[in-house]
Amino acid sequence: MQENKDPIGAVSASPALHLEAIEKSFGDNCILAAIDLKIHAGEFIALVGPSGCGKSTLLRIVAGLERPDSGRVWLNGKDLTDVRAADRDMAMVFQSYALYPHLSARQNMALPLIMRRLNAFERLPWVGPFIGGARGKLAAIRQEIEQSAHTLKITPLLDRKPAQMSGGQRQRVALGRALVRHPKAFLMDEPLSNLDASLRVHMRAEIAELHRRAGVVTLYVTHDQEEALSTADRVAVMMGGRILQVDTPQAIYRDPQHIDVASFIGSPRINIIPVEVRSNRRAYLGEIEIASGCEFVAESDLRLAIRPEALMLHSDPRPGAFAVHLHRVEFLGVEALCHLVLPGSDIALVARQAPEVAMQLKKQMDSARVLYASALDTDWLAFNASGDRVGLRPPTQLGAKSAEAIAQ
Amino acid sequence: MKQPFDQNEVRAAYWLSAPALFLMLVLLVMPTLAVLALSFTDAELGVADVHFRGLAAYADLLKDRIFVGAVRNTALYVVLVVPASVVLGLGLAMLIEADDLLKPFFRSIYFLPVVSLLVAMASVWQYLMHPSIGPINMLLNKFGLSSVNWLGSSDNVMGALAIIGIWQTVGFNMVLFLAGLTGINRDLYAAAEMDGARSAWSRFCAVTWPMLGPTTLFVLTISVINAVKVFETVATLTQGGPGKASDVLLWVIYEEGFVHLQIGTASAMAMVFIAVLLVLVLIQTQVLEKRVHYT
Repeated sequence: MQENKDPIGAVSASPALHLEAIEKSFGDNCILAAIDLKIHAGEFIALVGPSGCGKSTLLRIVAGLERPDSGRVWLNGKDLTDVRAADRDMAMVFQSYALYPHLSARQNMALPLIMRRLNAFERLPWVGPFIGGARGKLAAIRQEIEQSAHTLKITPLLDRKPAQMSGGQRQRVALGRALVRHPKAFLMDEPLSNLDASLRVHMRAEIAELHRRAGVVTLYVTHDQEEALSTADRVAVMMGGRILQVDTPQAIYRDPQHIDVASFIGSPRINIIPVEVRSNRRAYLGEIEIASGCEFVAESDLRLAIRPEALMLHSDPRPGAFAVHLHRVEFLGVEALCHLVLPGSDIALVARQAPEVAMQLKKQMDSARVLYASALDTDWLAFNASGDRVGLRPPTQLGAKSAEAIAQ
Repeated sequence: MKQPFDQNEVRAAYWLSAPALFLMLVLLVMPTLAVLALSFTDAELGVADVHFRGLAAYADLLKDRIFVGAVRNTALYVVLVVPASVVLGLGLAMLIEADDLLKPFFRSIYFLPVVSLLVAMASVWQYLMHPSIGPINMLLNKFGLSSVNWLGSSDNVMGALAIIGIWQTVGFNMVLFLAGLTGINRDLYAAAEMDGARSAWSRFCAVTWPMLGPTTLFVLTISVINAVKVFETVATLTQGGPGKASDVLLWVIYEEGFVHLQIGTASAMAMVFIAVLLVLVLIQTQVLEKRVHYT
């Protein structure tokens, strides 16, 4: 629990990739502010955030394609800050794939190996292959390409040029170009966002599998929170040039430390209700008592948040439940989303229900639009005016076990 | 799968393209056919009597010392101007591309020769290259080099014309290359850097040069065609002289047709000229096109 509270997710073991106090501005525009991130050997970290949050810039700084204004990049204990991209031994996969269009898949994959292993003379066209050890090196390269191609199942594509491939195939070749080198770190910049939805789901599983097999530090940039949660060992949520939280996908989802993390992660969005804490230490919206099972420290601009699946709906009033208007029911197959409005305000809530339950509720809605919503006290999250998470104090009669689970 | 066209649609398509087809026929195809027809005759301007000579005019051209010399001079001009203006144009484009601040300034400066009237600029060059009062020779003298008779010596005249030709073409090529450079996906440079391309040269080889393939082909074709069509500088500065040292194709055609009024012979020369251009265009579209478009 303590580890999760650490805003940079630092743990004891020495990190494989360490970003230390990285800052970057373009003109007056501050892109990155004091970024600290420690990544362990073999770890898969997803950098997720809305577009323009600085995640791609951070990745380019790690790659060495961009220089930070201040701060350092360490890889396996070596300071890489002044090492240029070509010498960092990292591989990058681009959103646009960035395959060389004039080269076949095989040649695309060969290029990084040729650049690194052959000297300038051996690289000469026509004569190069006849110089010294070039022939042996080229044979080794050819073999390694075959191997990587086999892993990625792109062997039949090897002699095609990028223009003769589909988006998914290009993506695989781009992965192959990164994989074939056995780099010290993989950097991926939105590698799947140019693919269609079903292919994206398929490829993210493959990328996770490739990472598991290669066991190399991977920094994966995406704006898709689902992609981040499903692939990464740990997720770093970035917003406005800062890392708000670094944690396991579960902790990021269940235990967000900032309201922006809570509302960015999860679909449909988490429900947020601004409340007022009265003298009885209970939280109200107008005259509605929202979370009746907890006690609050009186704080201005307190906001309570609840995940859509944690919101329970009842057709009859009961203690601890507040009244809501059912606005619309959206069926999504395995589940249904009930769109609710808090009476006397324009605050909309979403509750995720089993379809049968939602159907039942919808039938009742025709007669009376009022339903009653409640949630377990342990499911509420509270955030203060600056967006930071504040602890909920359960009344003393609550069991010790659940008290521990939500304690600060 | 091919869809059979609707008859109405086919008719509409013909109607819509008819004006353009008509103009092409009247302005391009018919004049060319007329020239082709004239080239088989001994037509002379002002002489009503015209005889059919068949291919005799073409046979004469092969023996015509002036025409063969003009072909040779034109070829020399192309060989001097094209590689230099393409390479310099590319170099300038890359230099200018590297600096965002001064880009508009340099772009305009180098483009000036393209938009300025070559006939007018030729008089400036005449002054610059003047054997005694020309600034170029004065500059050479200052560095202890002897004066060069630029336009007045049969050894130097093609070189001097080529310099003017390069000056005029570089800016145009540069602008085309600039357009080509902006079209290159920046990620490719990042990818090349990640792949271990340390030097600017290796990035040029891996990304810039292959990505500029279509642009280079276009620039090359345009430059060759423009060089083959060299005329203004010859007409204003040398008139084919000294001796016949700067006779070029268009100049000889012009003299034959409009000075000696030998329309038949001039037409035969023009057909050869058109044939040369056609071959160049065919090389572009049929051979090189396939190698630079990576689809």
